[in-house]
Amino acid sequence: MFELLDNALKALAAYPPLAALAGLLVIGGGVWLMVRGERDRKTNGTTAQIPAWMLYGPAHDAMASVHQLAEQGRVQIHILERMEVVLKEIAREQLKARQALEMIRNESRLR
Amino acid sequence: MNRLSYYIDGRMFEWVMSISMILLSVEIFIWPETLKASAFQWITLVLNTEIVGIVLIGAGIFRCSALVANGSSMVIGPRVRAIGALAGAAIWVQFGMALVKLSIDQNFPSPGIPFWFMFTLAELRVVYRAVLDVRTPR
Repeated sequence: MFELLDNALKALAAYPPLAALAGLLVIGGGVWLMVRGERDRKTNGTTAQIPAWMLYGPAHDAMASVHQLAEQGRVQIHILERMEVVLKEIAREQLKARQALEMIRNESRLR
Repeated sequence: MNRLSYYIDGRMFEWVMSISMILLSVEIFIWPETLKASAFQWITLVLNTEIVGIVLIGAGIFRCSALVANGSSMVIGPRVRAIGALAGAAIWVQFGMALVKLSIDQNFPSPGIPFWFMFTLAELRVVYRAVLDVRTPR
């Protein structure tokens, strides 16, 4: 491995050009990253940097809220059904009471 | 301590590298043999010792200034950080290459090689990330 690199170095005559090339490559790569960063910033801003998992929490909470809403709706319907039964019973009782009162009034007139 | 955390949090790598750059440049200016007589002697074949010192102290001070002024200028600050990181990457790759050359000469790899090349890659990442922090008025 090192012999291969050594031979490559010798073939390139010396270390300085290779090191300069590495430096230029890094600078070129850095400049390219700056240009790409500018482009990405204009298209996405930093929103693209927000990790996806940060959105999982709120979405999970929203799903739990929807489930709670559905459960509350079901309980409300059950309560309303019971109220309807009770109201019908009350209405029946009131009808009977009205009939009784009318009978009392009619009897009192006959006397 | 909270004030210190405000400046350091999220930028620890940049702070560490910037301060290291300044300290190394001071070391080079006081003892120029630091590079010439060390494992990094090969750097002096490519770059003059004084140039290495000047680049290090310049980039280090600019980076620290941009980090301290974090938020004051969202246009210039991040760009200064990006350019400073680019200068850092260019220097660190020379350190890595010097160790590669040393490893070839001694026939076994130097333990410093992974560190210097990872520093280079991390600085390149900082270049990209810092540019994303630029905020221009719309």
